[in-house]
Amino acid sequence: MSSLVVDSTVLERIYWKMSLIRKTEEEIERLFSKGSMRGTTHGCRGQEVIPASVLDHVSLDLDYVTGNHRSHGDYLALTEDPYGLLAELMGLPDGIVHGKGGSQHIQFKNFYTNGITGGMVPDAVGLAFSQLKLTSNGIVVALFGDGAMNEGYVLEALNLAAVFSVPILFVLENNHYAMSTPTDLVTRRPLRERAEAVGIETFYIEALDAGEIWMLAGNLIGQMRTDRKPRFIEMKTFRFSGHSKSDKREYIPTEEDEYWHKNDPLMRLGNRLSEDYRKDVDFKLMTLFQELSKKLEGR
Amino acid sequence: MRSLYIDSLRKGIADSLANDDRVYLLGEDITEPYGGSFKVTKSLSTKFPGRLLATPMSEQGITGFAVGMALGGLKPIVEIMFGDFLTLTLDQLLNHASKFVGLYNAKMHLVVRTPMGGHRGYGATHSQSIERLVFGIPNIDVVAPSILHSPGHLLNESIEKGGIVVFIENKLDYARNLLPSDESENILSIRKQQDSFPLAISEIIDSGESPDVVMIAYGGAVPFVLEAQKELFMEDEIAIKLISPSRIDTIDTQEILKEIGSSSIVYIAEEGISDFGWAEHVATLLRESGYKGIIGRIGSKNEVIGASEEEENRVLLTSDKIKEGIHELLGC
Repeated sequence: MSSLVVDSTVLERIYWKMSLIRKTEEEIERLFSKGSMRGTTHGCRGQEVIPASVLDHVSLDLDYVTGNHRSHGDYLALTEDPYGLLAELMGLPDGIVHGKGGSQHIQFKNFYTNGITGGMVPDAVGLAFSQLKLTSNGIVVALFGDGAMNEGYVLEALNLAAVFSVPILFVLENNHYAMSTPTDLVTRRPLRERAEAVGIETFYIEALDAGEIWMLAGNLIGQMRTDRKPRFIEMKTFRFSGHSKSDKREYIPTEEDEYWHKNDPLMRLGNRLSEDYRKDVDFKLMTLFQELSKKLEGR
Repeated sequence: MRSLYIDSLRKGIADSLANDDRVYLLGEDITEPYGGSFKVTKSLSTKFPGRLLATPMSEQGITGFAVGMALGGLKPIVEIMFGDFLTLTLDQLLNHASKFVGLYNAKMHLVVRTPMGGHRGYGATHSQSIERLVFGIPNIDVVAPSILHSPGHLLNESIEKGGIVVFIENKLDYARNLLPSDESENILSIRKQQDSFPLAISEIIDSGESPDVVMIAYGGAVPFVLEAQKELFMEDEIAIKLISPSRIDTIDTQEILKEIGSSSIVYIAEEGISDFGWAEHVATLLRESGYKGIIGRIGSKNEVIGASEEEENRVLLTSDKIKEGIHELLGC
């Protein structure tokens, strides 16, 4: 179906991005507990594989990406720039939104996030309409969670995408908890059926294997650049961090937590790579964050 | 020459579509053969194929869709069928578009047009004037043409100037003639103070020195004021000067004070509920700018609008209530 090949270069690149996201999230948690950051933050530890694999196929000079309140990983996967993000969360002028946005309001080139659950999804469909009219192959990727699936916004947006037939890839990161509310408690059928119901081609994947996600997203985005039609992927995933910084995760059963930690996508991917490469990444990250610490503490 | 408000508006939309192929119009029932609930877009989908997007009834979704179009470089004009449904667009305007401009410095061209106003017997959820919901939101301009303005020109300017504009129309005004027209106004002199989002001024011709009362009103309140203005002059020789701004989210106090001149009574009217309303804000600004005269204000009652004519007249602004208010202010 396509010429995409998951080779070691691809896997190493994704591993690097996933590791960078995890390390940055850990650093954010550290800075918060130390009191260097105000407000709140929504971490994505455990879900890194999704932005690292999916967004590897987009270019912010051509495509648009919309995120949500939990978008540190999206930004890092797109830019590999932890300094801009950390500075933003610390409220510094060097931050990507000059310190005015904080954790939930991030924008860089064609990447937009916002703090209203589901609200970016119709905007993403409108962006995809502009891509249809103003470019020959630009697409949009919209990332959102299972909580957003119950906002009218997303239901309306899915229908609009189908009706106007626009090149948008909906990526539902289903981490099974809308804040603390188990999604199974407040929904009855698989969430992806809502996209199927309005006539969008829909896919489902357990987001454990980076290569598999990269391949699926790459193939779909490749098709969308030509046929300019919407697609929807539901990804089953899990967050290792709380919903936000003060969340102790008391609502998550131990067995569930253990299953996902045992299957940590970052660890699984690491096991497919050489020990030397993993050590290189660890060393690179250590050096990078030492430099970042100095730079940020000087501010 | 007769020129209807609705024709001006339709021409403004057509001009916008013709001048810039990034302009799109989206909304419910706007394409042929229906041509819009109030027929504002009649025939446009035939003249501009592909540029009018017939949408499902998803106001919050299509407003978001339009915000996305605007972020992506298009210039959408959204029609919200009744002003009452502006509630469904608020989250996109307040929590999305406004923030993208304020935080991300987004350059957007976005207009949301919608008709307000009662007196048509449509009942509680199709008769309100709730533009107050979008006052005081950063980066959102509110434009409201009256029959003293050129609605189409204002619409054209709203989409071309950039930014986010909520464009308030009025249901009764659609069928009204713009003023001045040749068959009317032999007692009123009408002028606009500038080309861009002007204040329109209606004065009694030959009323002598300064008017007895200066009124300030916008949009759908203007015809009620004009009626009161004519009748009070003919019945009681009371001279009223009316100032009607076209941009209503910000008040050019200096220009308004210049027009008020030495008049010692200002009376501010709106069709929206007067408690915590627009008139109150304008009054405060005038006071803060040093105006020393009497300021009165009138609007609709803080009650749900009933469907019957009696209830509408009891709750909503009418020209009789304006006349009564002026008599009270003048003590005559």
